[in-house]
Amino acid sequence: MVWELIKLDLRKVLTGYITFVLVISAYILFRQRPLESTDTIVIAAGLLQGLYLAWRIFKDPGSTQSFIFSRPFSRNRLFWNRWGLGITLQMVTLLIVLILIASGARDFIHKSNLPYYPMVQWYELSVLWPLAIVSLAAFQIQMFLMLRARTLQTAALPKWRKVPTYAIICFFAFAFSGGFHLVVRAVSDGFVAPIYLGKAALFYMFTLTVLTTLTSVRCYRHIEIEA
Amino acid sequence: MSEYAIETRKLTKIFDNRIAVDALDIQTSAGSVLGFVGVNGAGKTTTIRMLMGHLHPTSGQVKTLGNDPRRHNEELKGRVAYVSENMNLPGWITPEGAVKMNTNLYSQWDSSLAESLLDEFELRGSGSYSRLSRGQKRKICILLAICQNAELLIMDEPALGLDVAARHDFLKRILEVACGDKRTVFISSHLLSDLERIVDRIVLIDKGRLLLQGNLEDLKAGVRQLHFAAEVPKEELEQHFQVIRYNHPAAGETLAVVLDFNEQRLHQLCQQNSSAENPRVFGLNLEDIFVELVKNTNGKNEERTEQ
Repeated sequence: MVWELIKLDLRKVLTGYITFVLVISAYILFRQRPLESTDTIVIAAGLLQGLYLAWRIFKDPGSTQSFIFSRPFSRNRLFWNRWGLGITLQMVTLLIVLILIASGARDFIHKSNLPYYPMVQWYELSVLWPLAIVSLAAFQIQMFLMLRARTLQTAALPKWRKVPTYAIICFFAFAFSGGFHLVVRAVSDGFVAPIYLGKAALFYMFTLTVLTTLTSVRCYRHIEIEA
Repeated sequence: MSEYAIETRKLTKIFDNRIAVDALDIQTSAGSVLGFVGVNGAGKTTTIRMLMGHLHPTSGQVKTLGNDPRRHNEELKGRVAYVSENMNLPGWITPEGAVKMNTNLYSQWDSSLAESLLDEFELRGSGSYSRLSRGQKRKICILLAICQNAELLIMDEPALGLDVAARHDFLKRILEVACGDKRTVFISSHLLSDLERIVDRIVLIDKGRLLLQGNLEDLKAGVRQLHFAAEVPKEELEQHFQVIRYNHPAAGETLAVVLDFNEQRLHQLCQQNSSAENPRVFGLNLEDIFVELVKNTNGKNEERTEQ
């Protein structure tokens, strides 16, 4: 990891990320009813977090691109640093949510409204799984689409090849979304999600992450840098 | 290992059926200061971006310090300093912060020079990058490039937005860099009078094609404007010189610009045609030479189109 590079990327993402963490923390703390793994707000928050992180981390404003890409980092290193930062920030969010729930902070605020404590407290931890899965899937797909689209912008690619290539990417994006829907369904069936998280869903997430990451790193090696 | 600091072979880049760089062959030996000159849209920036590995050539080869810039990315970037025409640092970074960042990134970084340049360019305490004037922004980019102590300095319109005094300082610094051991400077600029003061080699391109490359002094020694007080046929002139401009400024007068002038050839011309005797011979500066070459190329292109 290159600390100077991490600092550059952190500065891009930090304001939005902290705002997001504050909002999701406030929602979790002040929600009256116990949290469930099907919580729409949490799933939407995970989606937004993944999209936002991928967009901010991998998007360099045009005029700073030549500065960043002429520093002594290889494209590979640049990619893995950025990908690692995105994953780390998502894990930090999960950790914060875990601490908020496991520490009993919700019970402290809503003592009268949570009659099943401490059982409810552990039940509520199942909200971590959809948050993690949705955020990771959104991050990976957004990263892949952004970087693939940038490789397609290269003028070397003839126009007639751009259309089918974009179509294939859209197909895969929809396929990923469909798979993601199935995963959320599988997760939402369980009380304590890890037990009910199907092997297929785990395999799906693993495949999605590996494929989109490897394709993205390949794209990153080929993107053309604006002046 | 290539003997050249920069070497391109048949380098070509095509954007959406538009040829930006067309089979360009450039060679620059280590230790030289090369001026890269062309009109707007000539393909200079595209070429430089390929030298940095930022763009991929459609065909041909490019070697920077003997390496393919796309493959030897990380190691090479530590040896090459780069300033691009539109380069911007992240808006929040201060000049001192940028210096500190680069100190940690480059092993050859010259901290004492960076500190003195921060004072000399009056950048210390000037606030975040986004609040600086255009000239100050250029100064930071130049400072970062110079203090990197790189083997090769690639600069695309570095003096754009600098005032006269700052440009003077900048040229002085470039000369100091060039005097360093085996440092190569590759500089593209429209300010030909500035280039003329510092470069020892010149590459002229137009519409992506190489017009001319060579030593500046040789070029300037060869290019002459000849003013004859009589009509001298173009065919006769072309028997002795490579003519890049030929016209009649007034009835009975001939004006020609030639690329390969020498006294012996002029003498031969005068022997062949007595009316060509005692022409007035003028030397041209780099700007005039460039204009003549571009006009000549455009004229030939128009002739081809008409045919």
